[in-house]
Amino acid sequence: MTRSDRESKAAVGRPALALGSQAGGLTALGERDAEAELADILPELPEVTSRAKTVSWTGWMLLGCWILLETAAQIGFKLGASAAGTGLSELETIGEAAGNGWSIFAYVCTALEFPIWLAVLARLDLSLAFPLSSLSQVTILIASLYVLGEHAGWMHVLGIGSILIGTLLILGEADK
Amino acid sequence: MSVYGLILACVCLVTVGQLCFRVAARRDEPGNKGILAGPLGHPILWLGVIAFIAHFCVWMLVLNRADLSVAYPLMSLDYVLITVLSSWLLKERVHSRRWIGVAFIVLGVVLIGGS
Repeated sequence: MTRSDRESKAAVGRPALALGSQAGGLTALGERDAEAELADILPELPEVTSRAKTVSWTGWMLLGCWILLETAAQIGFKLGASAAGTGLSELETIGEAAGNGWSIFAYVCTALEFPIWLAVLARLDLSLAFPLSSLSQVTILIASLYVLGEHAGWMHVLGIGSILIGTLLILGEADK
Repeated sequence: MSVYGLILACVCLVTVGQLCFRVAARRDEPGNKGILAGPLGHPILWLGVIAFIAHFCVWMLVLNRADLSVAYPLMSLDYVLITVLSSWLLKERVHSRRWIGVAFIVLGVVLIGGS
């Protein structure tokens, strides 16, 4: 649903509301008439209220972006921190790691994550978006295998499976 | 404070932060301006930011005193607490499939974080 669509539907609700406040000044009989008039307009209202339940595709895409950015950020932090090498003092290590190009890439990703997360929450329920954000655990693990060459045990594989099952259950419900 | 108390504080701060972010950002009621309400954004947004920063500080204390393989799985309590409070305080409609989905996600995070 486009933005202008939404605004025009929100506007549909307004005449009915104005009529309701007019009715407040009338007699009981007049009020009943106003109610009858309201009932004529009401069939259009459920569309306005059901709008909130409509699944927002922009919300899903933004959530996908957030998951990718979170993955890129974590991989970036790891590459930046590893690039500092070993054998330095703590302060030198932090200094080396913080100024590395990969770390700077990770800062940018993290900075972008915040407004994108707020844009997600503008569109999706928190009880939907927050559990689904756990998909980043799966993408980070997969990225650490392929990009960083780390190894995963069978517990990791079970964990990925469990998160994916949970995600599919939640997505399946939201689809209805 | 014991390390478990600190972890619990962390869980609560994340939950408060996310609830604030959702309250500040939501635009699904007609006439709700979401994040743009107010000159510096929605006031509740800043409560969320403070909770988020406080969570970060407490998390550093936790990492200083506990193994990540213990602390991280416990943080998955957030998935449960946030879903419960979204349903209770924010009146989000959470059906049985979402509860079961959250349970699988908690199990998955515990398996990945604990190993």
